[in-house]
Amino acid sequence: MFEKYLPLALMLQIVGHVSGRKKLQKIIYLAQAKGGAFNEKFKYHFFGPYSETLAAELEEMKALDLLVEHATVSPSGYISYEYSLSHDGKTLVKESCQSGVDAEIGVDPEFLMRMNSKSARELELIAALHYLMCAGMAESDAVSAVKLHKAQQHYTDEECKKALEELRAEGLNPHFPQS
Amino acid sequence: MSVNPQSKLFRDPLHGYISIGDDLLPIIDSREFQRLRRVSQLGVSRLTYHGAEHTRFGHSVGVYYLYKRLATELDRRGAPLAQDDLMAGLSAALLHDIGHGPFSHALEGILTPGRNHETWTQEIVTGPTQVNEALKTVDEALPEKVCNILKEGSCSSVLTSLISSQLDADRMDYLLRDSMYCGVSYGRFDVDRLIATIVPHGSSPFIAIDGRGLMAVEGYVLARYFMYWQVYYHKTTRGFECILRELWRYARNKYQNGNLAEQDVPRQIRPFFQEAVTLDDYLNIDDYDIISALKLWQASEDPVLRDMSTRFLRRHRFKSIEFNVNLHFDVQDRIKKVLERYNYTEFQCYMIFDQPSSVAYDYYTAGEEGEKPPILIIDKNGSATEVSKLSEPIKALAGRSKNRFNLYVPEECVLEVESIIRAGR
Repeated sequence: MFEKYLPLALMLQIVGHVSGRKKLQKIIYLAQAKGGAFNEKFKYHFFGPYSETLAAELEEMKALDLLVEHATVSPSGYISYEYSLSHDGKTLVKESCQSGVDAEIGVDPEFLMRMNSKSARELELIAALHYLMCAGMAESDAVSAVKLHKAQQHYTDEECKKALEELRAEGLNPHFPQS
Repeated sequence: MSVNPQSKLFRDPLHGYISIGDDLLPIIDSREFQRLRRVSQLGVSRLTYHGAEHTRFGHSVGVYYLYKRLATELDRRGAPLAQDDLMAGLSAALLHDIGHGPFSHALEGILTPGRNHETWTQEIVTGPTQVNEALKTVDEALPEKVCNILKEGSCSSVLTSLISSQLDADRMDYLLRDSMYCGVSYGRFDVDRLIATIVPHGSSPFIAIDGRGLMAVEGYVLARYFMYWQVYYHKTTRGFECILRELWRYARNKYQNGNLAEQDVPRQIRPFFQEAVTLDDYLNIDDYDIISALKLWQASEDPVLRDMSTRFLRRHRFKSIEFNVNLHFDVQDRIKKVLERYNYTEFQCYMIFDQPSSVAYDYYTAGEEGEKPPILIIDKNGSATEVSKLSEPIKALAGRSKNRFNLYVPEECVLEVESIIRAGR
């Protein structure tokens, strides 16, 4: 019945916890690009690829007690959220595996851990560049577009170069497909 | 601003007269666009709201009209679209839903797994179709321009934002149109005021609202919220959508396993069950073919096909049980035992879980800082602020997602299943 939430639950079980909804969105987006068992539809907007369906699913998992959301308020008043699997969420994963439901996430757990180790800022850049290049932009055009439309992020040339290298290393640069 | 002095008038129940230039009429006259007269806008909502019989055809013409109005307003505000861009945008507005399949979102993802209506739209616009020919007659590069506007990857232009953003022509039309045809007032908002207060914005989302339009935005956001919960996520509608989806899945699996004879699958449906669907196959199918199949299956030897088809055609709905807790596996097992006692052993068909994220429509929620596309309000100093920071009603409504889950089971099982769920908490 709740198989729909299984890929997300598996992802959280692997990485332990994720800081911030924006970061969670980008990790799922990149995992999907890597062939993971995620079917949410992403659209591009100001902050990069975003899925309304994924956002709704996360809220549903919270409502069903499959997910824990822990809010922290910084001294400046900024609220940040951390997500992890609840006890019921872990039970869902365990019982799904036991009942024979296909519980493969379809992506290397190490990949998820690597993505989770990056900051939201890095992931936003990597995900945005990937999305734009998959839409047909050359690397240089994608970098220009990101710098133009995310000017307030002040991404440096060095950061963009590193992001492109990351994508290439992960086999996610459409201009340099992994053999 | 005018696209072409020669035009035809379409009498729209919502917007009144809509003028469409002769250069775009071949799109409307195409086989692919005329097919939209046979694809319902709201799928199975007519089983809840009997007036909801409008089609994708009317909606597509309506979106064209609102797109033109928005572009005119931007022009008035000193941000005119270039003539070529305007033509591409208007064409995209007309064609944005050309790829929808029968019953629209009800069968999305099921009819052609891996290819959604946006994918089909791209194929229709660029493929060997009358739409493609019509576009090329205007401009050889027009099909590609239209695709770029409609492609999900497209991000960086006002042309796309006018069709797909938090304040787009698509949403504005379907809220008003669906509201009108369903006979409800929830979806009404002051569209004239909203359009009159649109302002260009230098970066994504490229359009924002002047502060004087805040109340119009509030009405619009409320309209989205109410239409979602009263129409798009109506439990009866969702119940029948679930029936249709599971019935399709069941019939397809039976066919693929060799347990449904060729003559029991209408010719137009077979490519979909064989999962070898060409563009022509897709364009050959509409709402009427699905209904024909259901009528055929009503007389099937298979009891599940017979029962599910009859339920849909005669409006014998499942009952819904609303819940908001996790249903542990042991609770699910107990529910299955109840169903077994009533001889409902195909649990996939008779124990259907539905959740808000399955609905194609959404309503506005603000989200975490920087997480999702905002509705921006521009003050007199030119500063942009996300709307929920300025509006108490929107802040209250859009602050957090509301969740409601439904479990659908046959009526005779509902009391026992309900008590199992309540006891299982």
